[in-house]
Amino acid sequence: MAIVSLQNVSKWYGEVIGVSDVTCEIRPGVSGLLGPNGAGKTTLFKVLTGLMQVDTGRITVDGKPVWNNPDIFHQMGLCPSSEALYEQLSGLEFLTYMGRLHGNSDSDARERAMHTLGEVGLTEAAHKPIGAYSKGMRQRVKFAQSIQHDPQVLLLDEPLSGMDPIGRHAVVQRIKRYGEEGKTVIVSSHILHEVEEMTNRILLLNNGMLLAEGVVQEIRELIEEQPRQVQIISPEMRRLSNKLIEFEEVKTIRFGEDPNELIVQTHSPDVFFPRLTALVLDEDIPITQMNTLDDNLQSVFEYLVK
Amino acid sequence: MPVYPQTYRHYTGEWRPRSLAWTVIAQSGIVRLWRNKGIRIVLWLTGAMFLLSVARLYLAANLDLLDYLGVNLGSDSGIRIDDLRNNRITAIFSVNDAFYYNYFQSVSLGYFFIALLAGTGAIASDRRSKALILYLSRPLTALDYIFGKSAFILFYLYCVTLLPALLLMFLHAFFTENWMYLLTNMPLVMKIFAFSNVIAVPLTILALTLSSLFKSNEAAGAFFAALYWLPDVLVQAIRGLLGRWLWGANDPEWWSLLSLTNILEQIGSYLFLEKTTFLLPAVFHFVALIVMCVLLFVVLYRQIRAVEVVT
Repeated sequence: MAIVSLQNVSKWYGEVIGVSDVTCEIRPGVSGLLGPNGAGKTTLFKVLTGLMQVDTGRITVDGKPVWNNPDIFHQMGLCPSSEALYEQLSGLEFLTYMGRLHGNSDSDARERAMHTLGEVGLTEAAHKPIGAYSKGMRQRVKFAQSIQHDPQVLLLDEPLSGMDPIGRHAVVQRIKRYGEEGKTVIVSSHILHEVEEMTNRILLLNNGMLLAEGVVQEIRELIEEQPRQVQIISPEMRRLSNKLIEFEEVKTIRFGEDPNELIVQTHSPDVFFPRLTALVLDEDIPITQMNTLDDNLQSVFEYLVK
Repeated sequence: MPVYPQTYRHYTGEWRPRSLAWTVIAQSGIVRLWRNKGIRIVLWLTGAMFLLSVARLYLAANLDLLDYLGVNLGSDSGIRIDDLRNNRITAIFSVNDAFYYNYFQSVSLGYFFIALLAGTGAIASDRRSKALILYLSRPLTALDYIFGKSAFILFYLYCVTLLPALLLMFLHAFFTENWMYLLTNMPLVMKIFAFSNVIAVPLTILALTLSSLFKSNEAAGAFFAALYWLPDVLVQAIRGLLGRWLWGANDPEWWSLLSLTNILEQIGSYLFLEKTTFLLPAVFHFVALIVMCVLLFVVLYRQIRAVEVVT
């Protein structure tokens, strides 16, 4: 069942288009919203949260419209990309205040704040002013304010930006757990490997348009005109390449930086992989490593936005 | 790995009603401002003006004491029992509508500085720290946000206008042991209530609007001070130089509509005194004040909505 639904959503800033005719349904779990800077990710987040009215189309969260419906934020958490924090407040004071704005009592908000700070690894820094926090700690506080009311839908705009490795690991694990718990998490980023750590389900956005949605591998399958790159490491690389040249489904073969590395491009992986297996077995050619290079997000992203 | 059902689960706890969300902002603002040394100094100074008024009330209720002081101060004091008897000095100690208006005038700098210190940083600091989006991604609207911000400014403004003025009425009844004074002077209560709002509401909206236009408290404060004081100064200068040429001998004093201080003065004198300060009927000033408030509020609201877009 889709929780977040967008139907023909468009938003213009005067003559500049922010989001163009986006239709998609987002189910529980973690979804990555990918796109280069200026692709419309932040605009999409703003219309998704009802902070901005769409020019055309309709957005619902759990069947309820988001525009002019601030109550939706009982079920939704937003971690903005901008550094929206009060320097003079401590992490605990800040989160307590945010909790009270959500309608929690002072004691309840404080208890939740302390618990959430623990979840993002900031218990020891809870009483320090945010102004004294490192960039990564600030990111974690910002993330904490978005999850402290236990939302069912979580929108995270560049949540790992500037985060230190430890904090990053804690937040990534938290996001993945949220997805596993059946909550709907949408993570925007222009850094692809960040999203890859959390999910393989993505929405690709460019120039305000939704280029693709689905699981990375599925999307990759759709791009039939783009050859798939396969990296093969073999001590008998030259003998192997001589054999592979005879394969009709192989488009190009080139040597990699590693003396034993071969990069093969193929249009028909379904045919190529069984034939390669047969070849290796028949000719007794050792292969120490094999990777499909462009199954990752970077490749999918590059193919679609070019 | 734990396996969870991939379904939507609704929050089953209780939330406070959204209509009260603005009170959190208001309460936080009151506490935060109390930590501001400038605000505390202004409150102490206006408190001193209040105590002076209390002393006047006390003396007015105890002319016998004044009589006693006059006797003991001797002939050089300038205060004579005969003068008291002849009502030459008692006029100073009479407690009438003008007495309360005098109190408002005595704290005029106080409410200016309260609005300056409390109001001009209220939204500018949120804009500076890009925190507006944090408020608006909570279950509250832009109007809730504005009400919350207005509420704590109004609270401090009422602390130097409405509350002390009403307390003066109460103390007068207490000193004279005439508790019916409060009941028989309900129109005065209404005037105090009205004039306190005539002061507090426009100052709050003006300060908040300017605060929403700037990221710097200082810039918003400078514009607030300029808009509050400069129009009167400029109009008076123009009037002095070109008054006769512009308006002739029968100056209708339309220019008094251009200055907030003049507007407040005219409405105050209309409410509390028998004679207004300016020739132009006070209704014009009242309408000008309402128009100003509406326009400022529209700008303020649009600013809050616009900030959402560009944050």
